[in-house]
Amino acid sequence: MAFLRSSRCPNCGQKATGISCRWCGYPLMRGRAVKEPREQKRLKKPVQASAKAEPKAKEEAREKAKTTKNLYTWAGLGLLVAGSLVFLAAYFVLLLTWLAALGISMLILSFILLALGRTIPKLPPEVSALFLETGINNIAALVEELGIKSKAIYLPSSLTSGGPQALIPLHFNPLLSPITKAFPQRLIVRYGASSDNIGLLVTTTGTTAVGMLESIPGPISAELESALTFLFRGILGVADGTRVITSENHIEVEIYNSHIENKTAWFYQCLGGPLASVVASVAAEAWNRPVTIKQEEHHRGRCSIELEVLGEDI
Amino acid sequence: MKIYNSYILIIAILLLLTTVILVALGQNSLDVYYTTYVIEALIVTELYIYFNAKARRGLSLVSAILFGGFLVIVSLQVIKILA
Repeated sequence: MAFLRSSRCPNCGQKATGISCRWCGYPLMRGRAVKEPREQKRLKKPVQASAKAEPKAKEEAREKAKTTKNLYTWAGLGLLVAGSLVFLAAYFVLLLTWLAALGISMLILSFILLALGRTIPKLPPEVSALFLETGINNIAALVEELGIKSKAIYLPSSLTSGGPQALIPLHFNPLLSPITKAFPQRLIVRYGASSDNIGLLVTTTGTTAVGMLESIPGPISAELESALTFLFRGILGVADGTRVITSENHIEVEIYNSHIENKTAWFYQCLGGPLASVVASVAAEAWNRPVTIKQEEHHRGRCSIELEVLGEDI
Repeated sequence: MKIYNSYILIIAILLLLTTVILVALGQNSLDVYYTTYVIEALIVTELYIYFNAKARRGLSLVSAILFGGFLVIVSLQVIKILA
């Protein structure tokens, strides 16, 4: 049973209950122990319950991460032991060269597995999906509630205060307005002199993905293709490869064997799908100019994205 | 992790095929087996350029260990010839 102390504050003299005086905030640690008010106790219960649930969720995530990591590490350790035994038995006891060679190949594989096992991200994909879904759902709700129909304009980091972000004009078909300076780090921004030139400046999946690149690619299609393949194949593991064709102000990107499903929600019509969002952000950063998604098509694992590079006028 | 799996699978298949081919050819020297394995592993690792930086660092360490083993074999052969 929980008890709280003192019924009168030693500092201001006012009548007070709880762990501190509600008049002057002085801690009530001395004096007679008084029973905690029932209401205060009732209010504490959900907090305690959620506090208990939080470490449990963390523990589960940690366990999951451990299991995923151990798939490679355990396989590596198993091959290390088996390979050593096979090699020793074949080389010293059985005198079989081919079996000893097989043992060596098992040892080589085990070294590779152990090296790769150390590089697996600590967070399991389910936890990452949880964060992603939450963020996307919030932006989707905002976009749908405001009834925005215009396409997002992906801006490079030179036009924002942080990483590359997407500007969603609030009005459909806005007037062309030059961007004279970088936008402040705010949700609602004004991008022109007219009263209609207001938009939402949001962080997208592309914003985070660009941060995963080792270096920002140049505007040449080969560099852009290499950066996108590195992201989709090497880091994110969501596609097998990309092909980029650039012509004047148009960029065509083909993504092969993408594993991300295509959704046709309003939000995706505005900002594009996750893959298109990443492509647009990388392209905006590479060209150092605003970019918009003209078209996005998915057909049997192949994703075709057409981007338009805008001038300084948007 | 798809790229990791394909990399491991390719290395495993290559090493197994090499063993089968060298056994079929009647190769009896363990040095030849090891040298072939190391060359194959290094080539495949170099071809996988889209690994993240952490994985590349780990695999570079493995490559260095394997290359060290190769140098030991070469040194032993040189000593054998000189002796």
